[in-house]
Amino acid sequence: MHVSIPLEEGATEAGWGWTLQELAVSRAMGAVGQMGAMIQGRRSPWGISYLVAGPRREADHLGWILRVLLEEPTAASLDGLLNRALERAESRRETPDGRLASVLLEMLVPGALPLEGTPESLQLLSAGLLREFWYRTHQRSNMTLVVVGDVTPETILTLIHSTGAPESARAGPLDLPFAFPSPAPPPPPLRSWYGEGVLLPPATSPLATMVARLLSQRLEAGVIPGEARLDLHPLATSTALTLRGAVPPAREAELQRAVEEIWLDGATSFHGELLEVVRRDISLQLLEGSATPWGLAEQEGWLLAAGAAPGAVAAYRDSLHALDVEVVGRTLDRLLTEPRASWSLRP
Amino acid sequence: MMLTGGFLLGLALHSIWFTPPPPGVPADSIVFHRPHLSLGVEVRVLPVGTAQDPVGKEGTAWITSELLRGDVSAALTQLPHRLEVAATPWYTLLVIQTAPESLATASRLVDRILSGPPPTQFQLDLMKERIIGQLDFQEGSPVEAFRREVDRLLLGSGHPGARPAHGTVHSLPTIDLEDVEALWREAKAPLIPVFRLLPSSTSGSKAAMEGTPAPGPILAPGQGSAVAQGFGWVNALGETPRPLWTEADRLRIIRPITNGWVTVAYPLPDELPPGGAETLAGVLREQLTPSPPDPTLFRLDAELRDTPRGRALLLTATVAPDGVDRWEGRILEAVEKLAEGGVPEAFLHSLLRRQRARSLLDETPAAWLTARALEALRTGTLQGGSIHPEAHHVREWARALGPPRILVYGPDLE
Repeated sequence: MHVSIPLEEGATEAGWGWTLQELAVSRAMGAVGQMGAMIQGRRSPWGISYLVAGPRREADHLGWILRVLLEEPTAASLDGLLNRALERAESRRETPDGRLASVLLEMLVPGALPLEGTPESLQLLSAGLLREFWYRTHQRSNMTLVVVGDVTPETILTLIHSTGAPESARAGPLDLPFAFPSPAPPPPPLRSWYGEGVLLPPATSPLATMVARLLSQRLEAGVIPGEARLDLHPLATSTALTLRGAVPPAREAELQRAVEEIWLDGATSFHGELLEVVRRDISLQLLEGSATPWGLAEQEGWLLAAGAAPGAVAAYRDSLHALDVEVVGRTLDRLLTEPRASWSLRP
Repeated sequence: MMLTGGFLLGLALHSIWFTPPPPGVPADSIVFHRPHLSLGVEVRVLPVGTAQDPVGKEGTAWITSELLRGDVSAALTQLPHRLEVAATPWYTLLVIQTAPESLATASRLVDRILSGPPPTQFQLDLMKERIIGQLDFQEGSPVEAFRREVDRLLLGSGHPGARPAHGTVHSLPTIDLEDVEALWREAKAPLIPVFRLLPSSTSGSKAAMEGTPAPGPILAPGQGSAVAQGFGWVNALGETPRPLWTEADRLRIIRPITNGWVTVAYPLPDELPPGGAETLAGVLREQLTPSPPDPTLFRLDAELRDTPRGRALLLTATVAPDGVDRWEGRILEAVEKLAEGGVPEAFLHSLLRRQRARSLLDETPAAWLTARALEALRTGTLQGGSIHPEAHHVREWARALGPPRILVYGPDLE
C-alpha cells in the first residue's frame, strides 16, 4: 500500500513535512512489533508518501500501520528528531558543496526550499505547530492510495477509514509572519568550488534521467579534475540538474573549462548507440523496480504524486521507449547553448 | 481519499499458473505465469559443477561458468537484462531477467552460445589470469578458509564437493582448453527443463494457461525419463545413501584471527513439505536474532545446503572471539527448545509471523523461480503450492532434525 499526501510549505514551514514523515515512520516502526512488515517514508517535492508491505493475511495489521502513519503527531521524539534535522541543515549551510547546491537551486527556481528544512524554520517548529500543520495538510480528500495485491477496494477502505485525518481542511502554506534573521556568514572554503545548473522536464518524463545518465558517463570518464558530482533534484514542476566540482585554488580556471566541456561533449558526442545503452539501463532499473508488488506500488505512487495519470509506470516506460535521438540531441544542444546558472565559492 | 487505477494494476498479483509438460513427454521448458509481472525470468540448471573437477584441475567448472557468463553477457548487450551465473559443487545456475517481450530472444541467444563454439585459448588464458589474481588477493582470507571448513564438515574432507571451487594457484595453470570444451559441451543439456516466468498477458501464453495439469514428476530434457532426485550426473559419483550423517560431531579449529564463527549443521529429513525447511530456517533465524542486539553477535545466518545425499540446515553465528562458546550453546538450545515445546506458543506465533513477512518481502520473481527450479532438481517433481505452516508444524520439523555437526572456528583465547 502506497499513500501520498500532497504538501505545500511556506518559507517558515520548510522541513515540517519532512519532520512529520520522520515522526510517523518512527511511530509505525514501534507499532510493527513482531510482524516484520516493510515500512518506508519519503518526502518528495510534491508531498509525503508512505509505503507499507506485508503478507495478504496480515491485511488488518497493515491497515492499522497505515493508520498509525497517517494519524496526528505527538510530541514524543520530536526534540531529538529536530536536533538531528537542525544539525543537518546547518551542515548543509556550512559546507561548500551544500551551499553551492542551494545557491544553484535558488538561481534556477527562486524561492525553492530545502525539503529537510532550514535552521530557522526548524528552530521555529513546536509540537503545537506541527499538529496544526498535520491538520491542515492531511486531508483525506487529497490523499492518493495505490494498492497492489489480492485485496478489494472495499477491504482497503474499511482498513483505513479511521485515520483521524479531516475529510477536508484549508490547503496551502501557512505563511506565518515570522521574519528570520540573516544567517551568519559561513566559513570560507579551503578549495575553489564551481558549479552549474539547468532545468529539465519534471519527474513524470524520463528525459531528465536520460540526460543525467548521458552526462554522468562523461563525468565518470574523469574529465573533471579533483572532486566532482552530478545530481538530479526533483522539483514540483521541473527537475534541476547540477554539476559541481572542487579543486585547489590554482586550478579553478581548469575546473570551469572542464565543466563547460561536459556540456559540449554531451551535445557533440551524443549518438544513437549511446542513447540505446542508457535506455537499456534505465529500462532495466524500471523493470526490476516494479517486479515486486511493493516496488510497483511505490513507482506508481511516486509518479501519481508527481502529477501523472493512473497507469503511470506503463506510460513512463512508453515515454522512455519513445525518446529518440532528435529529442534527446535537441535537449543536450539546448543545455550547451542556453544560459546556465553558475556559481563559484573561493577561499 | 482517492482510489486510483493502481488497484487494477496489481489485483491477484500472486496468483500463479504453471504449465508442466504432459506425462511421458520430455519437456524443454516449464512456464509459469503471473499477472502484471514487469519482468521475464529464465532459470537454467546446467550440469557443470565444481565437484566434477578432476583432481589437480580444480577450478575447471568455475572457469567454464565464468567464460559462459562473459559470452552470454556479450550476446545480451542489446537487451535490458540482468544475468546471474553461479557455479556450485553440483550444478551451474544461469538466471536471466529481462523485459517479458525480450525473454524469447534472450533464450535463443543463450541456446546459440551453448551450441556454438567453445571459448578460445586466448579467452581461457585471460580468465585464468584474472582468477589467479583474485586468488592471490584472497590468500589467507579467514572467511574463505572458514567456508572450506564448513564444506568439509558437511561432506567430509575427501569429498569432491569440499575441494576449492575456484581452484588454486597450482591447479589453474594445468587446466587446458580440452577440459573446458568438455564441460561446455555438457552444459548444452540442462539437468531439468528450463524454468520461465512471464506475465500472463504475454502473447501466446494464454493457451499455455488453459488446462493446467496437476503438479507431478518432471522429465529430464531430451531423455524422456524422470529427473532422478535431481543432481543428474552427481548420483553417478557413487554417493552413499541418505541421510547426510547419523552421528553428532564437533570440530574446533584454532586460527590466529580476530573474530570467530560457529556453525551448527543439522541434516534435514526428506519428508518436509515444500517450503518447510525454509520456514524452519527462517523461524530459527528470527529466534536467534535478539532484540536489543547482542554486542558479541555480528551476524546470524540460517542457510539451507543441498547435497546429493540430502539437505542440511546450517546456523552460523559470526561473533566476537569471547562469544564463540556462548553462541554455540545458544544455537543448540534454540533448536532443542523449539523441538521440545520450550518456546511459548505466543512467541512462536510471532516468530512465524515475522518469518512469513520477511520471506515474502525478500522474494523477488527471480528468487521465486530459482527456488522452484532447485526444488524440482532436488525432488524430481514439480511441487504444488506450499502449506501455510503453523506453530505445530514448525515444532514437528524441528523434532525431525538429525544430530548436529558443529564447527567452531576462531582464535585461541587461552
